[in-house]
Amino acid sequence: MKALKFKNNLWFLLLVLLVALIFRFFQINSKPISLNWDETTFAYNAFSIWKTGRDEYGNKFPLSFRSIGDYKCPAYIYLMSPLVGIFGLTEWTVRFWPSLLGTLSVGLFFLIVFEFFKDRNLALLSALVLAISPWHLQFTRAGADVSVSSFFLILGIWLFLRSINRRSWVLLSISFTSFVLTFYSYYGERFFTPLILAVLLFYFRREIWVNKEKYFFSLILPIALFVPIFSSLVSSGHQGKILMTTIFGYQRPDEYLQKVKKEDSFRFIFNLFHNVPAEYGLAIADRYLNHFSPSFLFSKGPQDNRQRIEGMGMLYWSDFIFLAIALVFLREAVRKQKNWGLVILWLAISPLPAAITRDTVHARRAFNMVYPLSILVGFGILTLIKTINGLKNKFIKGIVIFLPIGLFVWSFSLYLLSYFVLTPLKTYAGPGGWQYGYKQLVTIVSPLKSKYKQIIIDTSYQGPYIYFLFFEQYPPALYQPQAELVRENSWSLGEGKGYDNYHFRPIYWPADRGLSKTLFAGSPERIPLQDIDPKQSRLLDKIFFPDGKVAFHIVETF
Amino acid sequence: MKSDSAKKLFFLLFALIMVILSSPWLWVVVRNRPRLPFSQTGLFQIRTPARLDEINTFQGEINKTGLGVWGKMTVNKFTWMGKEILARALESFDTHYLFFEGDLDLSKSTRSAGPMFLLLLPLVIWSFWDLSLKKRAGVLMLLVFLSFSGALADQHYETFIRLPLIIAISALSANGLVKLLFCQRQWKWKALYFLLLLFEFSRFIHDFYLHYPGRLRG
Repeated sequence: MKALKFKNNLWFLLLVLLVALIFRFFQINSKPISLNWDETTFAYNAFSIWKTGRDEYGNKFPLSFRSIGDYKCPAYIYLMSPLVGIFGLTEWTVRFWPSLLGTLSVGLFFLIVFEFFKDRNLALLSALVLAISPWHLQFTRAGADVSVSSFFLILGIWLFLRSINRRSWVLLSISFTSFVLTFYSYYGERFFTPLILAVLLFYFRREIWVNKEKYFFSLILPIALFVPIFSSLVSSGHQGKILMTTIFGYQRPDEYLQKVKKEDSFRFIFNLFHNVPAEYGLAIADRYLNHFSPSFLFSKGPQDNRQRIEGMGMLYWSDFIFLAIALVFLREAVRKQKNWGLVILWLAISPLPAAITRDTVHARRAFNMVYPLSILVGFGILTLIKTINGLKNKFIKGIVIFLPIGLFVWSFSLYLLSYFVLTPLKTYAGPGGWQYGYKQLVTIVSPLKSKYKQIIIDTSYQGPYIYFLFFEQYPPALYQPQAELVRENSWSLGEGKGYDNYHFRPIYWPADRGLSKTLFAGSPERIPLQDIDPKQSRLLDKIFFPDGKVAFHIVETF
Repeated sequence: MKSDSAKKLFFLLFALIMVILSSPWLWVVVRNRPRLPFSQTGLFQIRTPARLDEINTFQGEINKTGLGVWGKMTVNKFTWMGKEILARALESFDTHYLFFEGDLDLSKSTRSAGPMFLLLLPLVIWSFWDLSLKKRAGVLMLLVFLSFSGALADQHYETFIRLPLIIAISALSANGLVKLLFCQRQWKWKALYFLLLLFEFSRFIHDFYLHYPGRLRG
C-alpha cells in the first residue's frame, strides 16, 4: 500500500502559500461588502496614534482603547498604525494585516503539523485545507483582531514545540512572548492562551522538568511584557467587557424566577434544580457542544451576519466525510503517535471562550477550532487515499473517489459564489452586519458640510460617527477635544456625540423637521418620504442598499 | 465463555431497556399519546414554492454578475434539494436537539430536555471509541444511514421519525453503561457518575410533572 507522495514538497508548500495569499487578498477592498464599525474604529484609532500618539479620546499610547465602549485590545491598532498613517484610511490598509497574518498562519500551521507528526504529506494537506478553509478565510479577510491573536498563538505553539525538540530556552522565551502578545490582541485569547499553555506544559512536563534551570531564563522577557497589560486585565473596563459578553453578567428575568418558584411549591426543590450553577452549567455545556454540531459546522453556521456564509456552515460539506473517516481511524492513530492526544485536547478546549458567552454559537470566539479540525480533515483525506489504493473492486473504488471529490467541488463552488455574490446581499445591513451605506453617505454629505448650520445623522444603523471620521480622514488632533461617547450605561456600547457641526443621534422627524438650515440623513423609517413637507424641507438624495432598498434619505430644511 | 457472552448480552439488553424506559422522549410520548396522531408528521416536500423561490432568487443574483452558467450548475433544484436533505439528516446529530431541547413541537418534547440525557453522551463516546476499527466503521455508517430518516420529515428536529437513530445511540450508551459497571475504576467515581445521572433524571421528572404541564397549556 503506497502512501501519497508529494515530490518537490517545497514547491507544493509555496503553491499552498500562494493559494492562501490569493484567497486572502483578492478583492479585500470590496468583499466583505463594506467596513464594519469594528474595522473603522480600529483604523481611526490607529490613525490617531500615528498622528498624535493618542487614541480618539486623547489618551496617550493606551493599552486598552475605549473606542465605542468595548475597550479594544491594542495589538491590531498599533500594528495598523504605520500603514494607515502613511497610506491613509482605506479598506486596503485596514484589512492588509489580517490578510497577511492569515497567509503566514498557513505557513506556520504547516510547520506545527510537521513538528507534531514528522509527516510532510499530512502537514501539506492540513495546510492546504487551512488555506481554503471558509472559517479561516472569514476572519482573515476582514479586519478582525482574532486574525492577529491567532497568528501569535500558533507562532507561540510552533516555537514551543521547536524549543522542546531543540532544548532551547531562547526559543521558549520567544514562544512565551508570542503567547503574551495574544493578550494584547484579542479578548477571547486571554481565556484560551492560558488553557493551551497549560495543555502544552502538562504534555511536555517531563522534557521541561529535565531542563528546568535552563528554561527558567525563558520567563524573563514574557513576564516583562506581561506586566504592562496586567493592569488592564483587572480594570473596570475589562470587567465590564466580561460582564457584557459572558453569561456571568446575565441575570435571569424576575418573571421567569417567580413563575418557576410558584410551580415548584417548595423552596428546596427550586434551590435543588434551578440553582445558578446548575442552570448556567447546562447553558455553558449547551453552548460548548453546539460548536461540534453539524448545523454549525456544515449547514447553517452562526446567525451573526458578520460570521456566516449563506447556504453553508463553517466547513465544506465534503469535510463531513473526511472528519467521519478521521473519527473512525483516530484511535489507532493515537496509539501510534501520542501527539494526536494533543490535537484532540486542542480541539476540546477551543470552544471554551465561546461557551461562556451569551451567544449560542460564536465562530470568532471559537476560531481556534479551525486548526485541529484542519489536521483531522487532512488526516481523513490521507486515510481515504490509502484506503482507495487498497480497493480492488472498481465500482466501489469509483464511488469512493467520486463522492467526496464531487461533494468538495460542489461545496467549494458554492462557497465562492456565496462569499462573493450571495452573502453580501444578505448581510450588508446594520451593526450585526457590514453596515453598508456609510461610505456613500459621507461622499455625499461631506462636501455639503459648510452649507448648513448643523448636520444630523441618525444612529439607527449604529456607529455613524466613526465612519465620518474615517472617510473624511478627519484630523485626530481636532477630534480629540470634541470626543464624547454617549451611552445608556457604563457597560453598554455607545455613539460618538458629534464633531464640528455634525450631530449623531436618533432623528425624531415630527420634531426635528422644525429645525432650520439643517441637513438630515436617516433611514426611511426615521424620515418617511410622505412626511417631507416641501414648504420646509427637500429630499436631496437617496442612498440604496445593494438589493435596491433605500438605506438613507438625505433631506435639507430651509 | 458462552455464559460470559450471555451474561454480557443480558446486561446489555437490560441496560438498553432501562435507558429507553427512562428516556425523556418515551415519557412525553406516553403522556401525550392521545394528542399525537402520527399522520400529522408531515413528509418533506421537495418542490415547495418557498424552496423554488429561493433557488430562483439565488440564480438571479448570480446571473447579474455574469456567472449565470456557473451559478446554475451550483445552485439548482437537484443540488439545493440534496443540500436540504443532507442538512436535515445531519441535524439529527445536533447536540442541542439530542440533549437539551429536543423536538420543536411541545407535544413531542418538554423543550427543557432532549430525547436523551446529556450524561449519556460520555458513555456514547466511550462506547464508540472502544469498538474495533471494523465495528467503529460499521456503527458510524449505520448511524449516518439512520440519520437520513430525519430527512423524510418536513419539520426540523422531528423526533418520531428519528426514533431508530435515537434507539441506536441509546444502544451505544447502554453498552457504555455496562462497561462502566464492570470496569475496574474506583467505585467513588462510578458512584459520582450514577449520582449525577440520577440528578439529571430527577431534574427531568420534576420538570415533567411541575413545569411542563404549564408550558403545554400555553
